[in-house]
Amino acid sequence: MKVKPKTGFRIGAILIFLLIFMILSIGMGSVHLSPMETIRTIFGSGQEMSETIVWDLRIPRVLIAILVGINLAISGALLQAVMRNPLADPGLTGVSSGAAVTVLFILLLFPGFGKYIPLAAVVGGLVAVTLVYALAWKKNGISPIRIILSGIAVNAVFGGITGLLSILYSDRLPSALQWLNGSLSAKGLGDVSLLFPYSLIGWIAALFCIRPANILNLGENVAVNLGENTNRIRIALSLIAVYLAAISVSIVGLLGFVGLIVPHMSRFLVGSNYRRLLPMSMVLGALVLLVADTIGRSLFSPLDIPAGIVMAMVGGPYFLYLMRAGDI
Amino acid sequence: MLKAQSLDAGYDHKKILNDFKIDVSKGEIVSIIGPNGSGKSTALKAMSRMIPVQGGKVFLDGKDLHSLKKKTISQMMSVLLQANEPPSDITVEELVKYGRTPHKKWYERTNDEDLSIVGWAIEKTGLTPLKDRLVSSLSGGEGQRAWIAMSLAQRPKVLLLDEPTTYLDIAHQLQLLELVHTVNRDLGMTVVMVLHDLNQASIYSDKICVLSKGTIVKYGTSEEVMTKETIRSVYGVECEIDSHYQHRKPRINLVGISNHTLTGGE
Ligand SMILES: Nc1ncnc2c1ncn2[C@@H]1O[C@H](COP(=O)(O)OP(=O)(O)O)[C@@H](O)[C@H]1O
Ligand SMILES: [Mg+2]
Repeated sequence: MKVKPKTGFRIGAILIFLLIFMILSIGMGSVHLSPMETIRTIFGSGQEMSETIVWDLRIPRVLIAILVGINLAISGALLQAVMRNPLADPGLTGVSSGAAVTVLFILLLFPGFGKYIPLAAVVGGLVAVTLVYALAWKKNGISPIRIILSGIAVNAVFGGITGLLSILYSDRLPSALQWLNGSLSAKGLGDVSLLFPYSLIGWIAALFCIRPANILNLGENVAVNLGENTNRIRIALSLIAVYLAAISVSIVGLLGFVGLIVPHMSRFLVGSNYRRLLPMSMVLGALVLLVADTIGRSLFSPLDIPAGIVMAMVGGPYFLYLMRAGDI
Repeated sequence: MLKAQSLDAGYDHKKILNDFKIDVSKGEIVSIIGPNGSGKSTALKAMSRMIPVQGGKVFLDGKDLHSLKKKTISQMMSVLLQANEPPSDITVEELVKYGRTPHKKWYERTNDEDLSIVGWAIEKTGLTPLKDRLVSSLSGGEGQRAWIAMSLAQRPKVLLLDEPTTYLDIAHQLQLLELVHTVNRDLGMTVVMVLHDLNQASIYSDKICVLSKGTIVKYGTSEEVMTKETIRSVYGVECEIDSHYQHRKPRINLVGISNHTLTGGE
């Protein structure tokens, strides 16, 4: 049994899918554009009205979906390496809910401090993950199963705080509600240029995680035998994962399942070596979230279903399928 | 080369290993034997920083293990424990390549020298025809050899092996022990291994360490260690001992279970 699929080809194929779907998605909406019109408009030779729609509404939204999809997929893939468990994702470890609490705090109580939202999200995510690890810590290290149990507890607490904040400030909630549900609507190029540099830093950092993640995959004893400081690797990978998830949460809110589903599908397509898994997760994460958001905004048009809700409706069953297939 | 000084070790607050001390010279092969649960694996783990020690010290090439960098330790010493689980889609060759990790800086890629060492390790373990197979698709014995090849690719000065012959058929057991013997002789690799077969331990080791309930009962050459009395008191088994016609080492012929074990004690 010699399994060496043409993995580079597969990553390239998904990338091409992504590009095609970008064009289609930009063309979809109340004002419909054909793919050719879309391309003409992007390159500045379209009609003036479609130019406004494309550049002010659709492209930012598509780009945000891509950035956030990449970020959440990497975040999940790294957390899965840390915990050697395919269930790990930013949602499970409480990172997303921790980030959500601090962001909601600012949205509801200090609406004037909007520009600190990404920072607050990272702080919230870090608090959550620190709590999870502190609870999971035993004398000689952190064990995967304890991380998952602590994640459940920390998630419950932060979920409770989110609920409490929403009840206490229910009058101000509508503005925050879209965000809470993981919506990509009403994003502008400003959001893109805010998120992109932050994301890029995270992606570059993630590239340095490839080798350590592969070594963690060999198991604790083997990694130690090979001279690695496994706890330090786990902390570094976790920090990068938290960072990428938190900056995404700060822009689009609670958006689950991307970090769970995408690395799993990628593993199926290119195997568990992070040299291939990470690039595949990136392109597939972008594609999955873009598809989810495009479905969300076109299925019941003019209603705009948040991508977070679409992901939950698809992700829940996928999760069950994973369990039944015995992968978890 | 490897020295354990009054090691105490165990899990959580439970102490398993008591006052474990051995001093392995460069180029020696030492086998650790003892009944199930006597702490053999614990001793290997304690000597190789896989579990924290509760007391005592380990010296590698004269230096306190704690004072050495993790990477330095991994360049000098390789330890292969039992029950390793590789990623499901890793091939033999890919696994063995990881053995080169300790000798690489983070930005360095595999070079020709690494490849030739990897090829050597694969060949020595008889895995050349299987090198592109998935480790998860191999039999227990073949998988075990793949892990050993990884340890060999590490080119350590000290090699610690926990029950390397388990899962292997008799031919592969002997092949493996011959391989240990060869790397020991040709590369001067110091070896400490846990074995179950008393005769294999007797033939292939310079020194034998007998553990019982976490304590060293005897430590010395085969002749010093392999006595009827020791085997009776440690294993509760009666045996006759003569000399192996070829190796001139004690040969242990099991006779039966000692009577007193049926009535009392453990
Ligand atoms: N990870 C562990 N946690 C707690 N106790 C353990 C662990 N591993 C081994 N033990 C206990 O330590 C004792 C010695 O085990 P071990 O060193 O594996 O024995 P051996 O290798 O000689 O068969 C046994 O009583 C076993 O139950
Ligand atoms: Mg053992």
